[in-house]
Amino acid sequence: MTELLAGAKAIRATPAADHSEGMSYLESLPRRLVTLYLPLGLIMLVLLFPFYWMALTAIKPDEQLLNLDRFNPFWTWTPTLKHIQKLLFETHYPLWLWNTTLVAMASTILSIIASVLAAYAIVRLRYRGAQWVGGAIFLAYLIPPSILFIPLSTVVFQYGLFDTPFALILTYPTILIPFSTWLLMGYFKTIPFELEECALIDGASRWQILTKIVLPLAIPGLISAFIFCFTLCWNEFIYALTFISSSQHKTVPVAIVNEFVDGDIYRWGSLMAGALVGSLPLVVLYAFFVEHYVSAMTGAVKE
Amino acid sequence: MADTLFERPGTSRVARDVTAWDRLKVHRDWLGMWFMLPALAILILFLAYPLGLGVWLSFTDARIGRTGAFIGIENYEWLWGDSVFWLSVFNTLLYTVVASIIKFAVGLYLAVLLNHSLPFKAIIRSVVLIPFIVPTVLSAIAFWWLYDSQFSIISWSLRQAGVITTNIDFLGDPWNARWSVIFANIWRGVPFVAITLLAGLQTMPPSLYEAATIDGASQWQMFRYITYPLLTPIIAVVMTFSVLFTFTDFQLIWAMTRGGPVNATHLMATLSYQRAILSGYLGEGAAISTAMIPFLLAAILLSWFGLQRRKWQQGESND
Amino acid sequence: MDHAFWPIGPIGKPTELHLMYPVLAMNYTKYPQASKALIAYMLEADQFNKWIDSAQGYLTHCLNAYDSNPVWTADPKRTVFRDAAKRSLTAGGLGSVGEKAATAIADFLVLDMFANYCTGREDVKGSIAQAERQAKRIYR
Repeated sequence: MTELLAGAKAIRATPAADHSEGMSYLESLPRRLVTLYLPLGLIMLVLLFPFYWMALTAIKPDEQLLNLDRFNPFWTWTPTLKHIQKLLFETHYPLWLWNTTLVAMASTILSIIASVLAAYAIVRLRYRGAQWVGGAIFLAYLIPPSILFIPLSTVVFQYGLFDTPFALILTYPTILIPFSTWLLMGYFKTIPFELEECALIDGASRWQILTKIVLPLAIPGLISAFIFCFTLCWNEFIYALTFISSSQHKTVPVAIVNEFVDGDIYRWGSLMAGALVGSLPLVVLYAFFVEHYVSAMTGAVKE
Repeated sequence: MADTLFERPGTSRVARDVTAWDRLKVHRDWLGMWFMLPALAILILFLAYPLGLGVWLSFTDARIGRTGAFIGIENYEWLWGDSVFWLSVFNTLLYTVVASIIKFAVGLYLAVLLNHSLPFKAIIRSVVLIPFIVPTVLSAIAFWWLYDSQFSIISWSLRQAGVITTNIDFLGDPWNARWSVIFANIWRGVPFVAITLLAGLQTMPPSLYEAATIDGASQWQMFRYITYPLLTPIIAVVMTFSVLFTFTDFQLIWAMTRGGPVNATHLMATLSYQRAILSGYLGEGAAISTAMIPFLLAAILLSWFGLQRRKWQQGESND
Repeated sequence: MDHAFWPIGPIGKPTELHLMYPVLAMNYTKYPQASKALIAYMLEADQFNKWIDSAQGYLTHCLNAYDSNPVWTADPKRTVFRDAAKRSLTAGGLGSVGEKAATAIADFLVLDMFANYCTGREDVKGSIAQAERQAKRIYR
């Protein structure tokens, strides 16, 4: 049994072979420069410039922001932390960050629990009609929030959840569960069912099999699902905009759009600082778990 | 005698008959039902029921603050004659078609580029995905600042280069606003398409390319006859998702233009939000949302069936 | 640079929209007398004059007594705003305030009417007809 476990772990550890070396010995350097490095560099410049601009604006003093002719707009020699300080200490930004993190963690945990149970049931228990239910859950992912937000707002209001974090904690899983169930179904399928057979013969209950055998082996999948769901929660906007109205319950995306513009005064420095600080948690999380994120994205698509 | 020798204390269990409860506990359907309960409860309560409720609401004159009475297809009749609604349909189709085509083209090109052997390949790959990681609204705000009519760095750079003389009004002119918003969407969507297609490209066996090179095929021929056909199933899935999320996009438009100069960038999603929540006409907003569904189904079916696996990819003749 | 009123059209009355910040005490408050007393206190000369002074003409009064506040004549550019409350219409325009007026504003009825004509999307009759159609639905 332990050899099977070790073997299963080893199979998953080897990454997909990278065939990029392939025919590249035929290309000369100047050719590579023009057809490969130049377009790639250009695309990367376009992809990254808005972030550079966002970060630069967040630390530029106000007079340099608005006078592009006198001060070089692409660099600043006198960076200031005033905008970030205003952001963190004079607005409710830390509260909004806390709200967003809380909602994201709670709904992600809820979704993962529900998805693990559902994925295991569909893939291993294979009860009557499991394939149909699995297909229906996948189809649920194709129903976008911008179709559902109006009736959901009446439902949320009826249940008395309007303007509370629970409105979001209970509605975000509708976006997260289909995707993570799908993802986890793929991961569970790669776990050899002989392991479970042995456990069943030894008298383990399904619950024990799930918690003691399947989940430890599926940890990479769980991490991928967790990170992807967490990112989706941070990215969600329309439900938060519709269900939350008071300022102290808002999440970062909604607050950024509404709270930094006083009628006709645009506080660009703080706005960009807010956008920067709001993206940082996700980028940091992503930086540590890149492989998991990419495998979540591509694994789900390949199913 | 052996059984008393090996009898361990505490395990003197008497064999008993299997009860109905014991059988039920391990019955697949019973267990399956309990395992599925959390997921199904949330999905039915907050997804299936609201979907039906939304269609029902579109046939009533519900407003914020009071329930509505059944009024038949009056909402739809009203929308049929509303030029703002048809403008939003046009905008949505334009936005989706243009953005998806360009996202696909650039994403595929980027995936092919990334498939070569590069120095720091892993870092480049991670960096390329960042626009997709950052929440849409935050990058929309960054674009809002980039597109500002007075302080845009794009206008300033073009003016310094002598290409234009006055600042470009990115978000104030109807057609400029449309292209600006489409560009922002492309900027955000290309990494997703590129990385997913890259994963597909990495599963291609190099022997095919080696054989083609021996036969004297050019890069373009290799792409057209080997890479693209084998990639078609993945393209189908990626583009289905991409079209779906572009069609129902709300955040990007709302954060940048709120529907745009004179409704020029109103998508059906943003128009339904404005009519339902801001103006209070829940029934009319629900009708606009429900009107999105046929277009969505058409787009999904088109992507899905148009690019399905063909038999010849597995080596049999086409049917 | 100076400020001036908008021209009066064929209707013969001023039609400027000014942002009105109402001071409201809700019916269901636990302290109705105290709320009323607070509002009265805020609008007394000792408090209100100081408030208008520090606003430097950006905020306008609704009580006639404050017409004589020197802030309006200290800088001749501000005199125009002294009469804002007298000239302005409510958010309902020529109609009543309430849900219907709020809907008309949130749907940008009047704004779209002007913008449609100015950007060339519709001609005069078309823009008016569209606004009229939407207004009829809202106000029925």
